[in-house]
Amino acid sequence: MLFFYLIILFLTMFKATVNKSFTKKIDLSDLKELELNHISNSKLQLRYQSKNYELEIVESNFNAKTYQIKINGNNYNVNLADELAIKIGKMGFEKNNSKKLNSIIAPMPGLILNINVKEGQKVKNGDVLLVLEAMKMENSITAPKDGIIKLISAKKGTTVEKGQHLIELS
Amino acid sequence: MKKILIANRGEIAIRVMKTAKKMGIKTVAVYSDADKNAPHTKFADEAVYIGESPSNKSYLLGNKIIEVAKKLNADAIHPGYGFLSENADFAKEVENNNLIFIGPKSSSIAIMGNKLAAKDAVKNYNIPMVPGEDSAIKSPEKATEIAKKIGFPILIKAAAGGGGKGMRVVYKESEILEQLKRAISEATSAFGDGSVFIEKYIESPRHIEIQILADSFGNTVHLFERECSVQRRHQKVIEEAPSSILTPELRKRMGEDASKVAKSCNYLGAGTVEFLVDKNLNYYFLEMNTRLQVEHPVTEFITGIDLVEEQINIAQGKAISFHQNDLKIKGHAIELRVYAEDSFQNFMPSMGTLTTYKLPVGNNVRVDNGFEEGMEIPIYYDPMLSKLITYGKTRNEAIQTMLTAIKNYQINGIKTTLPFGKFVFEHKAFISGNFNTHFVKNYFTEDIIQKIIEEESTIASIVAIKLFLKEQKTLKIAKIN
Repeated sequence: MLFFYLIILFLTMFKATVNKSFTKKIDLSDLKELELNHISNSKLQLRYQSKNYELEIVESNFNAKTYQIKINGNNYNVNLADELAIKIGKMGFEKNNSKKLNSIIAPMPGLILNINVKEGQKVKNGDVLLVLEAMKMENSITAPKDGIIKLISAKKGTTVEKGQHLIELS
Repeated sequence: MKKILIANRGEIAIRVMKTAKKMGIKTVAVYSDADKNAPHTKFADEAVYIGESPSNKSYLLGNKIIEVAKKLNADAIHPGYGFLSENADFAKEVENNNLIFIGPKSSSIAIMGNKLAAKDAVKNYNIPMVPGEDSAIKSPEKATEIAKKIGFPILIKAAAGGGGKGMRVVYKESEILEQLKRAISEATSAFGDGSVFIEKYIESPRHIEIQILADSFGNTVHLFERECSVQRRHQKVIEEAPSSILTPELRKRMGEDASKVAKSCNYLGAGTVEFLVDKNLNYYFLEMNTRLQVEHPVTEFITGIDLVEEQINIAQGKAISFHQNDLKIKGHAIELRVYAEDSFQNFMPSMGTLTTYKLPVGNNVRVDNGFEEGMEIPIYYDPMLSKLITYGKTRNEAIQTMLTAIKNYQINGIKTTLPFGKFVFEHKAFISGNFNTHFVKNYFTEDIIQKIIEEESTIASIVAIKLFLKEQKTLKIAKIN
């Protein structure tokens, strides 16, 4: 237990991951001058680099170190890691996200109108892979990079849920 | 008229009912499975279930809706916008069943509903038109030939279209085949009619439309313009009245031309004539919308006229309640369409439940709304939640009121166009009035969006750390105690 407290007391650095995509290391000494002013229970004001921000705490979980903050109407899910966790990350335990680019997932629920590619086909960045209809609009889903179509799990004429896997690139 | 059935849903159904109630007319709502508990069903005096959630099994079932209207002894049907509002066959069926269709005659809808027929109808009235081919295009060869004649870029448009569906811009010859296929396919699935035509694509245009009213005594008046240039996916998202670029002289000329367009199809009721205005202030007739527009409230704010009341009166055979010379523009009004969309992700629809939903209130703030807290956004319909409209003595005042209203509009659970609205209303191009339909392409770029996300992510991180440290401190003190 004592060991645990020592770590907390001497923490000087945090790593914040926002919406699982944006990562920033923040030195605690940089935060000393900043003041959070509570307007109400969930509303706050912060002045940062002379700009005023009004924020809302939508969710906060101290134990999981996760916070959902709303700024200018946009939601940000923040995941905090302290120095110890950063060190563990450096030792190679961190999840690797680079593989993600290979999976094409449905950005919204909709109907697969057409699949323009076949398994084994070579595609270039920006090529139309399939057409997804949602809210009466046809949306072209394009290749995020050059590659080969490894697997097509989407079927023409079927509806898909948001986040459903459609195509695997390699 | 004692009772009106509103063949629509969401905010527009409620908006029409409000005026009907004010006039002492009873209202009937219709609804699908998805809308069982929707606010429009509760706001009406009576509400009738008409079918399953997909609109072709409920809100598009014209005969079913007419049946309900007759059973409940309604005198008239108001179609709102979208759904059956511009369906000439439906208007005709309503007339055939001895009910009043609150809108123009079916023949006017048929003419203006087909862009090629519309061009033909107005050609004797000396109204400026965009260069192009006035007949349907079937083959890519023909399209290429026309494109070469009028010059790239060209615009492929659905003859039966509207709302940007089936519309494609083509910049070079090699793109024609793919874009023509897409446009035809989109037009077929959206309108059941795959005919498309080609026009010269006017670059950097402004989209300015004129509101008109016509009664059965031959009176036609125009209620000035609405500027609708801020669009995404060819669909309007921000509108205002008046436009900051029209001179009184140009306004008068466009207003008179709009009245002529209405006369060309024997128009009756409220309608809108859309124009493109290029950077040299040349204007071209685009199309006429034969219904109440989504953005009609900005006109109501600056003229003080209730357009739905005029529609209902005209449909009952009364004359327009004022003369052209009685009208004056007073102040400035702006509208933001609040869509369930993620502005930062290419305006993709955002699904989910409204865990928090609180409307802004205040002087000069109007919200035409169709949702309430706890409701899920149905995936079957247009994802518009509401329209936020603000008014001011000056344009700047209306903008400032809008920014405050955006801040006070509390929505959690889904993403909306509110952040996009804030971006636009704070942008110097919008504030200056010098912008066109490419606002999103020119200013709301990937780089800018990334910058905003990074800045806000940094702020969110700082706040999270501050909150974490504060809680930690409290916990430690508690432990020691």
